[in-house]
Formats: sequence, structure tokens, C-alpha cells
Amino acid sequence: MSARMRYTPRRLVEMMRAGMEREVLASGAQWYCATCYSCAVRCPRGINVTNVMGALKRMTLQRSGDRAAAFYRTFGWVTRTFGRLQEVALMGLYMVRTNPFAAFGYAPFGVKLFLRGRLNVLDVFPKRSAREVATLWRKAKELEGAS
Amino acid sequence: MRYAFYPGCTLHGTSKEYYESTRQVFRALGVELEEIRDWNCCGATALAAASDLGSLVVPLRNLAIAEETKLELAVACNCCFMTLRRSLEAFRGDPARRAQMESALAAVGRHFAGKVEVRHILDILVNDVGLPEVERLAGDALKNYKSVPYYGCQISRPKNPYFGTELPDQLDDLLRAVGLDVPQFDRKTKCCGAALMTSHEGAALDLVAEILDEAHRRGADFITVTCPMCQLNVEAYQGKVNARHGTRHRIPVLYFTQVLGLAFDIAPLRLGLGRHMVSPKGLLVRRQKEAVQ
Amino acid sequence: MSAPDARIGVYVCHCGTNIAGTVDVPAVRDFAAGLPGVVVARDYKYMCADPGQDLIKKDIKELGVNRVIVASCSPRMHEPTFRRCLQLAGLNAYYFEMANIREQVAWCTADKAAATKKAQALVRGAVARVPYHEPLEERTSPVCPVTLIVGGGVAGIEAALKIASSGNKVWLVEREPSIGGNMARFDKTFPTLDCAACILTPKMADVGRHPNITLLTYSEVLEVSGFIGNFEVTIKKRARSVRHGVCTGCGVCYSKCPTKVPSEFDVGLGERTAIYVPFPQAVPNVPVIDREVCRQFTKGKCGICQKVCPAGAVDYEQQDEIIKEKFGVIIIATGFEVFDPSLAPQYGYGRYPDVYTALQFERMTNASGPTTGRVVCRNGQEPKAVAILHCIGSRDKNYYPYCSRVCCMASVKAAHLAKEKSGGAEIYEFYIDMRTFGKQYEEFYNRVQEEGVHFIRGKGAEVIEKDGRLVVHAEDTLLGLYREVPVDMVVLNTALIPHADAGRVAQIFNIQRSQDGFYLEAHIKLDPMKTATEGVYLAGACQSPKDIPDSVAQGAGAAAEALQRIVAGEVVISPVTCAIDADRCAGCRMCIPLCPYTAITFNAEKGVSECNEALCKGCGTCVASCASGAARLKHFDQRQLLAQIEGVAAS
Repeated sequence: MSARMRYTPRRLVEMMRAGMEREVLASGAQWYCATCYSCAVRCPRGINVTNVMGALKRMTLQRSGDRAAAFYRTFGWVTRTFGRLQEVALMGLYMVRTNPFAAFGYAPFGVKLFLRGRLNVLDVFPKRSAREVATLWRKAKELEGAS
Repeated sequence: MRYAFYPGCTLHGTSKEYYESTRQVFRALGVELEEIRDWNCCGATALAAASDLGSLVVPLRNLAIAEETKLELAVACNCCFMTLRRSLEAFRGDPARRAQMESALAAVGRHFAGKVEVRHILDILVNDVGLPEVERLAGDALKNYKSVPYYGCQISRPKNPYFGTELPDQLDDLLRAVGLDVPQFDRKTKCCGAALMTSHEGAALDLVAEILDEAHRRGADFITVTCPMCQLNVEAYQGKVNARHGTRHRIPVLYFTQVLGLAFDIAPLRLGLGRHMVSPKGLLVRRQKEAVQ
Repeated sequence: MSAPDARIGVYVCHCGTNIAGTVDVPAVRDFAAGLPGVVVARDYKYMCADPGQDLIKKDIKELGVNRVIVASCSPRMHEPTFRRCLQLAGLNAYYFEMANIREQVAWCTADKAAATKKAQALVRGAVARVPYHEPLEERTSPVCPVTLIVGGGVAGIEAALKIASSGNKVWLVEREPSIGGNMARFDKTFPTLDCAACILTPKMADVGRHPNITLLTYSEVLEVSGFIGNFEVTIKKRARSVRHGVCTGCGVCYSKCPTKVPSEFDVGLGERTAIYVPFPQAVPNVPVIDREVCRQFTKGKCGICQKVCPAGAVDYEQQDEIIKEKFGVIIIATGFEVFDPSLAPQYGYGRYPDVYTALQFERMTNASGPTTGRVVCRNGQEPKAVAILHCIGSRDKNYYPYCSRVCCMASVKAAHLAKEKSGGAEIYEFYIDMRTFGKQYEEFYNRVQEEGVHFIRGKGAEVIEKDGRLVVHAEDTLLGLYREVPVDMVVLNTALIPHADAGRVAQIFNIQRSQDGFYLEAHIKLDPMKTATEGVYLAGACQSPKDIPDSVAQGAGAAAEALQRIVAGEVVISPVTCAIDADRCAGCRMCIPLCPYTAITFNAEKGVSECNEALCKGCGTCVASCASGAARLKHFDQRQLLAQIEGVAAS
């Protein structure tokens, strides 16, 4: 995926060393990371580059509201609200946030999935676990903020 | 043999066929899978983009529930496998993190001692059940077929004690044990793009194209996968890949449990083979023809 | 002399401001003057200098001082200096004790009061101890003038020739059927592009015919015992199945042998027969039968080589020979192995036929190699593009963290040769850094740059097949762009690693390994040929990866170390050794397996354990384990140590 990044991971690290925080976060390179960990297992210095990209994602999420961030924000909201990933809610909300017209493009796909019994349109109620998940999340952010 | 089972969100949704075929195959092999109660989403890789500790603590709840069963926790989805393991390793390996994680768990009245092992069902089938047992149950249904083993990335990375990071061979061996011809498949752990198919479609399509191209080059009749994300990306988006690259891929992508089920002569519909975007009907018709001949 | 007769002189050194800057030296001196047994206490700026030593000598002569304490630096610095000083004044050298108030006091605190107090305590400990010192005598042992060199690569060859030409005898033991080592495999050497065989074979021939060199190839050292000057070595001379003195080296036997197996010398790229010489210029030029693949030995039928040999040299009945020989010094020059890149599967080695290691590539470009020097793919066609990758397995936390030193130059050389011998292929070299550090190395790099080789600054991350070609993925960091470069052949410059059995060999010779697995030198900067075991020296890549000039230099250096011992003719044996009181020894033998130097043996007749003082290094392990208190470490015995502890701890 580094082929698609404006700055390769190595370059991002060098930019970070040079203090170019704004450019790094604005590059959007971090959103191209698919968390496949190929970089982390091969790095000869033993650096977990995937974690570095994760940190960049978190830093960006805290600041801006760009489109790629929307996916992660939506995912988080859905899991905390439902306890599990209600896929219709995820895709629906994501499209509402980013590009409602994309719904038209996805509709045929959604119908195909539905016809094959792979879409849970009826299972829309939050699970019991939802409350606990929400509490865990809140507590984690609290502890993280304190450290 | 008994295991606690964590299905993960998609197994009851978009990857229902993985769930169905897993149930069928494990039943045929006499291995019990007990779905743990009131499990929650593992958080996949998405939560880590928002909070590091949060992404460790949300899956931890499932580990805590599983620990109460005193059984090993079987997982079917690569991403759930990776995320649960990541949480477990952080809990066991980093005392400071552990303290934070325990504190968060305590906030929901739960407790975890770190006494759970997270196992992928591929590993369970190959190592616990064993290939001889699989071979024993397998008929000749798949004898003349060729399939490439697509592991995906998160079953083998980050480094874990079960699967090699670059070129694991458990799935290759398992598929051969049921009579399939399994050629060399260099891209067996190359990422399918995962969630990027939603946020950066073009980039993910290019990754999928590489996998499809090699599968085609190797002469595969179908691709075998171990992960719902890979299954969706590699099968459901073949039309878009073709449009983008001018190719004509139309290759079914089956879960390895479906493949096993076919080898065990379990009815295709019970294995969820009616749910595919690229229907394996052609394969099954051919199989029936050959069986008759 | 027993304790009441001790007349102690204490000398406190300022060491310029090294000690005096933190420790109140006059206070320590005055304190010492008041201690029991002390007849004189002085201080001086530099005790190790002549005037300082003269103070001591004067007091010995005029005041009858018979025990000397110097409170100054570490004994590792100047204990020998002061011991010699006592000897010159006619006093036994072991009536001396040092209190380290520099490294252990002045150099580890800024607190003057605490420093002075500790210095005083250390001096008091020394004063308490020294009356119990015994007058120990150093012994000497003669040095056998024959050197054993293990390993016949370029470093071993150089050491052998240097020692032999000095008129001294050398035995060179080599495991392979021929000497030459890894250098014999190379095609051209950097930076001059000299043909490796052309410069090495004359030296090999010299070794083969030198009257002072006994060459044992296809042989291995099994066991070593003894000590410097007096090593007893057991060597296994493996059966070649060919009579050495009779064979003329005509080569008819291997031209007729029907069995073909992959050639180790060609690193798997070529084949050899069951009866073979590894390469045409082998020394000795006497074939060897690989009994594991030879049909005569495995199946009982063939015998062709014996039939066709005009000299009647083939002897299937030949047995391994065990030779026991005495040596004064040993030089280890066993060389290196290369990292197996199938451990890094992303490079495709072993899966794609045209991915090679650099060593394999050497064989390919070598005119007497399996492709007669042409750079061609396995299918016989010339590659249109070749990729050369640096640092495969080196500088990598996942494999070997160190840099293998020679591969940057080897890669540049390979690029040059690939360009020349492939019929004009495009050459891409993927590097992290360009470590061309030696004489004319940078100039060589510049030359190859001008030959049109594409240098891409970025480690080759993986090699994968696409559209029928091998594609190298790398980030071109000077561009800041990810690149995919399609080629037809890939050369991996793999790490130079210690031999797989380096641990076992280290045990045989009683030497240590450093963290990277290579053999441990006595001092990484100042003493790279010595080991911690006296009389055993290192030369060449077995100590750390190095190129030919450095291997040759180290071989010559090891020869100098050996000759130093041989010329001196005798070695001094430290008297700080264990003494086992036979009257007290119960014969339990608990000390024997504990001794790291196997210095203790059991005398069955007397029923007691005995310590060989020549082997003993004075570590004290046996003393700690002895239940009956029979084992005693001279110069560190219980009375001395307890007195010292009481002296230091008293308030």
C-alpha cells in the first residue's frame, strides 16, 4: 500500500523526526494502511510500523474530520451502540456522513447480499453487551488520557 | 474435543456461509464448538485508529467471558484472531498495560487472569484434529480440482506461534489432504485491502487484482480462504476489478470449511454454497457430472 | 614469615588529580600510618613512575619493609609494574597488594567525604590481608615449537606460510578435501578484479610443498587437552580411499565415475562425482571418495575408479587414521558460512529458480564454474535484467544484527561482472548504504557507477513473480518513491555467519564466542588475534566477517603471536592456582566436573583429587565446592580473604 501513499512510511518517519507534524497528518498516507503487518514483521530494526501508522490515525482522528476518518468513527459508534457490528448501520451511517449518493451505487450490492441471506436487516437491536462495550471504551479513553 | 467459540460479527451476517460450513464440518469431525455468551465485536482494526487502549480492552471482554469456560477459544475470522491475540499478548506481556486493562474490565465488573489460548479453527483442524482424521472422512469429491490457498494477512501477522509470517503451509496441507491439487501460491499472505475496499476502493481493487491474477495463472478452479473480509473482497468485487483492469475473472472464493464440507459429502446448501456472489454452481455441476461418470 | 613479622609499607598515589581530586590523599596516608603492622606510610603524585617506585625500593632496603601496599589504580593497570618493582628490590613479588582507590573510588563518586572513607577502608582491608601473603614463585614451562593451524582458507594459509618460512614447523588441518576455503570459489576479487584462483593457488601450492608444513586435508581435530606450549591434540585423518603418495593427480578416476551429486564447492549449482577433487587447482590434488554416495560403498558394486587408475592408488579398504600430536600454539582460522535465504521466504530463494546467493553467483561468473563463466538463467538464456540486493540477513533484528562488512564491495563487484558477462543486461543494485571503506574501494564503486549500473538506494523488500518475470519491490529513497523493478535474475548478498558447529569447535579449543556467534577475541581493538585461552589464536573471518586483505593481515598477525611464544621458548605460569591438600581431600571428586578448565584429575591410587597447576586459572570454583576445605586458592585463600573482609568492614 505504500505505493499509494503520498509519503512512504520511511519518509513519514523522517518527516516526523524533522517535526513536520502538519504535513504528515495531512498527507492521508496513514489511511492507506490496511493493518496487514507486513512492514512490522520485516523491519530490520524491529520497529512496529503498523503501530506507528495506528498512532498517526489516532492523532488525525483527534484533530480533523476527513472522509477516511469517518469510516473509523462510524465503526466505533456502531460497535459501542450495538455491541456488535450491525453492518447495515455501519454502511448506512458511513454513507450518510461521507457521500449519501454513494448509497445508490451500493444498493445493488446490498440487494445481492440480502437475497443471499447475508444481510441482517432485522437484527437491529443493541445486544446486552453494548452497554459494557460503551463503558469499557469510556474507561479506556479515561485511562489513556490520564497516562 | 471441545472448544469455546467466538464467531465474530460477520459470521452471523455477511459471512453466514462460513458459520454454517464451520458448524457442519466440526460436527462431522465430532468436535464441539460452544459459542460464548453475549460476545461483543472484537473491534477489528478500526478501533485502534481511535484509541490504542480502547482497541485492547474491547476484545478483552470476550477473552474474560471465554476464560470462564475453561476451554480454548476457537476463532474463525482472521481479523478476530489477530485482534483477540493482540489483546491477550498486550495483557500478558506489558505489566503497565495489564494494569490499565484490568482496571477497565473492573469497571464492567469483569475479571481476566490471562488463562485463555486463542486458536484459529484452521490450526485446530490441522493440528488438534489432525490430517489423518480429515483424510479418513474425505471422499473423492474434490479429486480433480485445483485450488489456491489464500490465507490473507492477519492469520500470520503479527508473528504468532501458529502460522509462519510469509508462507505458512497448514492450509496447503489441509487442502491436499482432501484430494485437491494445490499449486505454489506466492501471494498467499498478501493483504486483500480489507477495510480499504470501502474507504480507498481503487487501491484495494488493485491488491485483489494481484491475487486474482495469480490464482488464474496457477489454474485454480476456486480460491480457498480463511477470513470473511478476504472472502468478500476477493469474490464480491471481481466485477469491479474486471472493469478497472480489463480482466475477466469469475472465480468462486470458498471458505476452507466449505471445501472440507464438500469433501465430506455434506450437502452444498448446508454449507452455504448458495450464498456466493460468484456462484460455485459451475464447479458443483462439474463435480456431479464426474461423480456420475 | 607469619603475621607478627610483617613490616608493611603503604603508598598512596595521587595519580595527578585522578585520585587526589576526590580522595583526601594525606588523610588516607595518615590513617594508614596508624594501622597495625604499618611501619611507613607515604603519598606521592605518580607511584607508577620511577621516583614513586624508588620510594618503595628505598624503604625495602633501608626500613626493612617486607610487605608493600600501593593504594592507586586498578591492578589490571599496574600490578605487574609494582610486582616487578618488589622483585628488583629483592622482595618476593607476591608480598604485594593493591588497593584500587581510583576506578573503585575516585572515579565513581563526587562525594569527597565518602570517597576518602572508602579509600581508608580499602587500605585497611589490604593491610589486614597482606601479612598472610605467601612468597609464591612463577614457574616456566617449555614451548613446543610446532604450530597447529585449523582451517586452510586464505588466513590459515598465510599464517602457515609465515611461520614455516621462519624455520618453524606447522601442521595445517583442513576439513575439506582441499585447502583454499571460500576464496577458492570466487571469480574476481575487489578492488583490482584480480582472479581469486590466480592469486591464491600459488600460495596453496607453496603450502602443499613446503618442507616445514605438514598438510592434513579431509581431516578434523577431535580433541585438545593441555595448555599453552604443551597442547595435546587428537586429529582424525579421514580415509580418502585414495593413497596420497601413490596418486599422480591424473584425474582419470573422476572422469569415469558414474555417480553424480550436487557439488558443495559449486554451492549446488553444479555437480561432482562420488570420487572427486572439489576444483581443478585443489591442493593436494588427490581425490577423495564420498563414501555416502559412492556405489561401491553403498551398494557394493562398481569399482570403476580402481580399475581405471593407472597408478593403482584407489584403496577401498583405507581406514580413518587417528593421530595424536603435540603442539605449542594453535591458530583457529576456520572461516565463515553464508546465511540461507530460504529463511527469508519473501525473496523467493528456493522457490524461483533464478534467485541466487552471492556465493552461487561467484561460481556462475567463475570461468571454471558450472556455466563456464557466463551469466545465464537456469533455462540457458541470458537475463535482460539482473537485480543485486544488499543486506539479506545482515543488519536485521530478525536474523543477524551485525553488518557483514564485505557484501557492499561484493555487490558492486557482482554488478560489474554481471554487466560484463551477461551480454549487456541492465543491472539494478538495491542498497541501504554503500560501505566501500577500504583502499581503492570507493574508487572501484565510482568506476562501476560509471559503467551504467543502476544504483537504487533502498533495500530490496521482496521478490515476487509477475507477468513471467521476477519483480523486486523497493523504495527508491533518493526519489522517495516505491518502485517495482522487473528482472530475470536476482542475486542476494547474504550475511556472513559463523559455522553451524562453531559452538562445538569452541568447546574443543576452549575458546569463547561473542554475542554475534563469532569467536571472541581478547580485546576488540588492541588484541584481535588473542583469545582468553593462552596459546590459542584467531585469524580470519572466524573472528568476524572480513575481506581478503584483512584476513591475510590477521593471518600474519596470528603467526607473529605464535612466533612470539615459540621464540620466547618458554611460558610463565601464574602461581595463583589451586592447591589441594592431599591429607584433607576426601576423594569426593565434586570439584572435578566443576572445573571449567578441566585442571583437576583424580589420582585413583592415592584416592585424592589433584590440580594441574599449568591448566589451573585460579578461578576458585573448586575451593567453593570443596566440602573438606582441602582445595585452597593460593594468594586468595580463606585466611587472606577473611582478613581483608574484616579489614574493609571494620568501622
